[in-house]
Amino acid sequence: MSFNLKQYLNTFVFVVLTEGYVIEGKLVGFDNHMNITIEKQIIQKQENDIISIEIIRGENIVIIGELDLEKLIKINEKIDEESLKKFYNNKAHKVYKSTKNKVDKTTIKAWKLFNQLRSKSDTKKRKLSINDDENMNIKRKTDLSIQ
Amino acid sequence: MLFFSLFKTLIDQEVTVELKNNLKLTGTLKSVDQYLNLKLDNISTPDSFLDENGDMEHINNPHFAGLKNLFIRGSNIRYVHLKKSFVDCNLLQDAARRELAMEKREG
Repeated sequence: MSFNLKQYLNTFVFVVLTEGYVIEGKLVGFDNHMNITIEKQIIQKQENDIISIEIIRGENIVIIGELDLEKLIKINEKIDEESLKKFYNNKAHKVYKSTKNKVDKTTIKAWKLFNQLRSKSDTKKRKLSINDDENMNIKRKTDLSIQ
Repeated sequence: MLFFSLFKTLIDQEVTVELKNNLKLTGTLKSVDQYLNLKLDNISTPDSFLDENGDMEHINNPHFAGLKNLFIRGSNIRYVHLKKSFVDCNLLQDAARRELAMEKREG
């Protein structure tokens, strides 16, 4: 099935990836998995300048934004061309957080603690008699409030 | 397909999209496809403002400068915030039930 990416073909775009990186360049092609190819060099001094081409797998794309090149050049007038060129030909720069649900160490610690507490409460449960259902409920509630 | 047609009715309305990387974007919805990929125009973020020349300035997202429109991949959307008047919840619930019933009858 097609993605409505036709309007972006051969225009200057930036692509934000799931890892938080931003890539800027010219969109040259796409397919129906939303894999895209990007020509990286926006600023070309001579025709023979090497243009690197990057192929991005579709599942790693977060957003594709179309850029107005005239506006970009206006904004970039203040910056000298050399540094600009370096900036664009650089490897992608990381701007955003990753969209993948990476767990940090503190939450892992918290989960370990939680599991320990739960296993302890299980042993308590076995000691209680079957008739003490209400009592058990109260104990559980207090356990949760401690956590 | 229900929410696809719901989003179709929202075209040319202003929506706020929250992505999984905690980016919040507001814009007018231009098109939707079956994966709920969205196309937005007139993008603004919570911390962007219009400058003297009438251009949108994005402080925390400097590479948004000179942005015309935006294509958002549906798989990375966490929330879409809508105005209350855009959606009739009762109607939507009824439609969802009807669709479920249709599926049961067919399969």
